[in-house]
Amino acid sequence: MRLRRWAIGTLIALLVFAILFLPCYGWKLRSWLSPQSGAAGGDADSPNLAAENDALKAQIAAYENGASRLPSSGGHYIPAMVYSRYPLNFKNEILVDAGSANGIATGTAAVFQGMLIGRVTKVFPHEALIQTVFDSGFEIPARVGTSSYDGLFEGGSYPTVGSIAKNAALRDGDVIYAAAPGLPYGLPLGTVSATSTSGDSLFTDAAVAFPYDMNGIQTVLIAQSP
Amino acid sequence: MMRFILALLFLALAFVLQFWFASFGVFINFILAALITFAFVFDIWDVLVFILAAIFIVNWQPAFSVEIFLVAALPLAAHLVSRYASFEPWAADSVSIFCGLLVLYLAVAPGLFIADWRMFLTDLVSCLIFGSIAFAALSRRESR
Repeated sequence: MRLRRWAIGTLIALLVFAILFLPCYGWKLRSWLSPQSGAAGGDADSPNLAAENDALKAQIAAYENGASRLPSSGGHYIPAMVYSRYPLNFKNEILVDAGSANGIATGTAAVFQGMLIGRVTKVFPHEALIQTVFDSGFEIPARVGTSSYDGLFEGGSYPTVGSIAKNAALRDGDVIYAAAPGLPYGLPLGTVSATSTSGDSLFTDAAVAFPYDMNGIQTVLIAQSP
Repeated sequence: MMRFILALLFLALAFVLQFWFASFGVFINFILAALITFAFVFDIWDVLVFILAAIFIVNWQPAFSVEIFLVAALPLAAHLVSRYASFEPWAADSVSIFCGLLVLYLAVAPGLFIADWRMFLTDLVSCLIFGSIAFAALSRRESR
């Protein structure tokens, strides 16, 4: 009985130490327990034709809208590995292995295969937390198609772009790209997969299709603060 | 000792199930259900070991969060319930799982709970089934 108490006490002390000082081992253990869906996922630099296609469409749309005449806001991106993911159903966040020591600041863009997948919300010395586009709290101004219709990208399990002009001539496959302060202009978010009239009949809403699987992402690129 | 190992196996199964379902976009709080069930079977120190092991693996960031606090606090509250509840332990376990999930949803995302009550219902039913199986297995082991 006494031996058991000692064993339990030691186990508790070891676990407290691991939680406070060695959390990365918990993340590694979890990555073994979590299946990677893999499809259309993987590394930030590995080729994905659908994502490349969306990135090119976004570039064309941004250039046709006069973005080429603006001063370039492009900075340096650094690769970061995905450590862990939010484990419950209330948010969609990922933790990556680059932090303030690597020049990452809050609000900067996270990119996967040329697509904007989220924004840095918390920075630790060697890690950063990214709120992904699938988080219900993710909202940024966006533009749609080569005519650059203004809209509001709203994240969630099924992200949409709302508040688009009712008479906007949208087609399935039109690119949706970011037009938000603090993020590089013209980064593609996805493409239009369906359109509908908003509940109040004043705007058009667009459902968004993505060329990647969020659960399969293993590395991302993060914009370094200037 | 065998019961403790069996509980560890149930906790490992809860991890695998929760992360496996999550990879398909279905989120069920098997880990919380397992921890609440353990609170009705084990003493406080054993429960503490399970809670700390769960936090070590579930915590997704090197900082404090309400979610992790609740994953630790709700099983401890359930342990208090187990000591003072006057009705059958299996019923108290099910009621505690229901209350635990309700508190988690209301504390972290009350809007989501109202907007998507079917998600809560799926989560609740799955957790009650998992919790009942774990409780039955661990209680049977105890009575032998």
